[in-house]
Amino acid sequence: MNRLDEGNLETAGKGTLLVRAVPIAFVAIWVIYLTMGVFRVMQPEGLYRFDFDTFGRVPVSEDGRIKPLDTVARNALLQISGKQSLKDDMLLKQEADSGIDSKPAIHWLAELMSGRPESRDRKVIRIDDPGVLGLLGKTPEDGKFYSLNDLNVPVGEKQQPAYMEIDRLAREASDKRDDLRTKFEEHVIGVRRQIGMMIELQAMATPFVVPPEKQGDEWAPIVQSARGELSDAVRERQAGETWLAMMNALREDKPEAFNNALGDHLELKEAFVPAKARKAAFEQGFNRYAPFAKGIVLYLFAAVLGLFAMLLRPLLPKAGYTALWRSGMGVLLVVFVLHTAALIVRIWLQERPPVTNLYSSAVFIGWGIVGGAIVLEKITKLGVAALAASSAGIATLIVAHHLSKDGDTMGVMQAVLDSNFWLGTHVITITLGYSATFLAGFIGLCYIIFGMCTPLLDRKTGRAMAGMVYATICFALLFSFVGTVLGGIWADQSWGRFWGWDPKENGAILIVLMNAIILHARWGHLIKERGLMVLAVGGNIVTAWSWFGTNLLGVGLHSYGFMDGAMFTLALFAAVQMLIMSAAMIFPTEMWWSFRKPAKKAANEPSPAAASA
Amino acid sequence: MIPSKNNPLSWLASLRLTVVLLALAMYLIFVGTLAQVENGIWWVVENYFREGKYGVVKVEFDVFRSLLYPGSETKWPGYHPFPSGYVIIGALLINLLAAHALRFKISGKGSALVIGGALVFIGTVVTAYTVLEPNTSAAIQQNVMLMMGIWAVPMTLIGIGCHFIFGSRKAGIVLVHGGLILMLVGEYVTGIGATEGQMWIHEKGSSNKIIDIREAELAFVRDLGDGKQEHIVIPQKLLASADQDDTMITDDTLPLKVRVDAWMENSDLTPSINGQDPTQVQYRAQELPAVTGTEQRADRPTVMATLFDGDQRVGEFLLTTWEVVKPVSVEVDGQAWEVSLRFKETHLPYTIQLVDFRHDKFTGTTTPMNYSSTLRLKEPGSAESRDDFIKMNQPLRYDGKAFFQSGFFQQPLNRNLGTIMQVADNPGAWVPYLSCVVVTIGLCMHFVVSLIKYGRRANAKA
Repeated sequence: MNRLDEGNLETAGKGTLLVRAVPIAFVAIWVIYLTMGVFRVMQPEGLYRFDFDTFGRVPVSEDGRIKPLDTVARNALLQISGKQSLKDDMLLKQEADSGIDSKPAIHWLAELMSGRPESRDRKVIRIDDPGVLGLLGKTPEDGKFYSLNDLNVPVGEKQQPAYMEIDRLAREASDKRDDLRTKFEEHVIGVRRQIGMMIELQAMATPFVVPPEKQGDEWAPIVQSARGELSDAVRERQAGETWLAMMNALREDKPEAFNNALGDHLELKEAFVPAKARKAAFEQGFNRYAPFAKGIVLYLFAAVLGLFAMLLRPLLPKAGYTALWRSGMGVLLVVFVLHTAALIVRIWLQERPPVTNLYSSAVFIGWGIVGGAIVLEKITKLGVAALAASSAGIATLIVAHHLSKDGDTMGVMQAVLDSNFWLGTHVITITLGYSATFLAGFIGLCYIIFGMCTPLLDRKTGRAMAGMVYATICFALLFSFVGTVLGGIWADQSWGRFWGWDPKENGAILIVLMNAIILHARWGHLIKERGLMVLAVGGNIVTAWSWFGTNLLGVGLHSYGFMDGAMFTLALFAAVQMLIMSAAMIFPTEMWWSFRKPAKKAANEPSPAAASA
Repeated sequence: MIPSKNNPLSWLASLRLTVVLLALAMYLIFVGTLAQVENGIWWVVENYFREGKYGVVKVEFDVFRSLLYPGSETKWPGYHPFPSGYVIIGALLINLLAAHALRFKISGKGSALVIGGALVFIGTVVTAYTVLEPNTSAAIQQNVMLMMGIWAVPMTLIGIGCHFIFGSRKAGIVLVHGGLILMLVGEYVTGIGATEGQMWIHEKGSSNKIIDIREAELAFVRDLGDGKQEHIVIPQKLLASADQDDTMITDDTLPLKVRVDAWMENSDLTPSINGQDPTQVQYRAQELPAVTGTEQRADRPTVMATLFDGDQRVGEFLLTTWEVVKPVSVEVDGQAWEVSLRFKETHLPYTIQLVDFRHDKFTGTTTPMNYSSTLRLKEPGSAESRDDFIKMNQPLRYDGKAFFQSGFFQQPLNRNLGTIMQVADNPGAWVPYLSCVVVTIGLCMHFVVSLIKYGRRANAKA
């Protein structure tokens, strides 16, 4: 906190009180907010008779990874209901009556695993499709969330429970080729998956809670332990017994017995797998701190400051602009430090380079854009790069949030991808290539939008922005080319084929070609400032295509949830970019608000350049 | 600098042409990617990215269907012609060479030129030695890092040499373009010279057989004794065209004449019990659509064929690449032949035995964590053998070939595991590595020069 403030003071030079104090105040507020968050995480989350907070820290094995129950609970609830905690409809009537407005996911998981009766009444299964709701005799007006008991009503001619009917329909739908399934069938499959997850958790088939007696052996589910199938290794048996004692106490509503058994169970695991237990506890804290959710808020704030700085620049005195600009940059730096720290924590937790799946690519692309833009902003001090950075930060973190609904964001890697060396080189470089191309595209968007719709863009600013875009595209070409070649080398090392023309590879080469086209067109004087910006915006489409489009070609239709609407979102994104590109191409710059009648402007009022000079 | 308008080469060398060609390449790659939704990846590579027909490819409007109306079944009619990948690459090469001939003038003079020339010469000789001298080249290709690290040295010399010859502003670009040319040529060499296939070996078993699952062949096999066999094959293309033209396949080398009654590029089998003999399972084949580029499977061809010995009908047979159907035994002139449809085979002069196969999964999942195989390599007539261990990203390199761990299979009856290895034989495998080094050095040189220039300008302004 102190260092940041000093940094600002140093560059403040002989600025006025306003120039010094306002940015410091903004930075201080957010640093205090973030620090308070850390203290809040250290405190128990809600005071319950049962110590769910400690329960969430218990390390278990699920999908090949050892993680805290808190992560299991959040991921499961997110996939079943789309939420990370129990809210509104998902709360029971007596809870709502007693003034509770939200409960953590771990609460729900404990309830479900122990088989407490209220777990069957909790409305957590999100069903959007009117067709599926129709099966239950409901309509969308009845709400989005349903409980296991709601799914137990007799339906159809045979009057069998609704979930069995859903199961039958889903099995029929699964036998069909994925691109021939109807929307209804996709949703039926999705709802069956949601129900299946709940049943697996309730039956304790997953996660595995019994750690191996010997190093190198595998974790086992509690059902095996309960059936006496495990060896009579003492610690394994103890782990199973304490777990069952916990569940019994929970079911019989005996908080003290639960807390005691929990203490024993955790102590046992801390002795078994000390390092993993420490990590699991840290991961619980990381989940609760939710750095990327906080990041969205801070990026939003920085964007608003940046926008004000841009818009008010001609009206404000220089000190006012500097104060605003510094505040925006200060907040941007704070959130960038948060973003970086969160990435580092994920690297440490996973013992992997930062990009391992689509979710982490979104987080990393955002980080790359912001990092690059901060450098540009430091040089140009125009506010444009900062604005582009904070909007890109918001966009990528929101994309990441939606991607997190697909499951564990730190899942294990397929054998062929399991190579930290190539993940660390090829994937990082190519992702930085995405970041740089997006950054150029976002600056291009700012240029076109501000140029056409505001009077703020003077020639000097325009030239500076063109310089930024040019430099960024040079880096984009370097990263995307080197990244693509490294990918080829990885493929050659893995299966003896440098280049296979598969959709993902083609997507990568498209980015390289796009950047090469922009640079060659510039060198050949085929485009000037406007053309550069239009093509840079085109880079957004190409990058979005190779980031998501190529994935959607293969899996597009047998996915559920976010990816379901992803093709539409992608098409919408491309359409908006094309609209902006066409507008910029159709109207000559003389017709843009910023560049209209420059002579008259210069005569009547001081131009923005003069105001800021 | 800028070529005069009168020079006939100026159009060929123009950046305008470069940009147009790069844009054409982007479009071709984009529609080629879309075409993979409905077609096999190798079909697309042949028909879009490489030659096409006489340098022209047909871009079917149907490729846009998966993008604009996913899930719709009706095929869109029509196509538009477009230059094929090789044509675009060729034009880019011409454009690039013309540009260098016109715009990249030698600027070094006197001793600078001599030093530059000497450095380029030394660098080229050293690189050529590491590539052409068989032992050296085999040794350094064992390890990527070593290979690229070693090449970085002569390439840096060449880079400095170019700096003396072409001047600071052009040297980096000359290297970048040189590296790109190398890479494109390398891709062409791979296109014509590389072979790849798979080896399937079950545990404790051994094999010398490489199969190419992209293509099938009808094979007549005869034992010559002494562990030797005679193989006579009819390639897939011939079978498919014989089915279309209704012609008989005859050849003096073939022991029998073949009439193709039905050819299925991809098929599935359904078993049915023979009425007379319930122990005999018969199979019926039905045709499936060919596998597309977005699916991770291979076509399983089947052929229904009638064999003739002269004018004598020997019988009608279902021959398929599905392993459940065994080869057909026939006797011709006292010789016993086995007839089968199989994936295209080539045979190694040595055998590989699978000593041990390991396959681990992540706890509680079906996600593979690793595969590995211990192999024993035996040269014929030699008592010696060598053991090698391969796993993902760690192949065995031998005899100019690389054996990669790529997957596993399970035998239908005893559930024993076997290894699947990808076998690549690519004489141009080293080219992309070298060009990667060249381009990287070129880009770095160009960036450093640009940064210095930018810094000077900024300083001058301040």
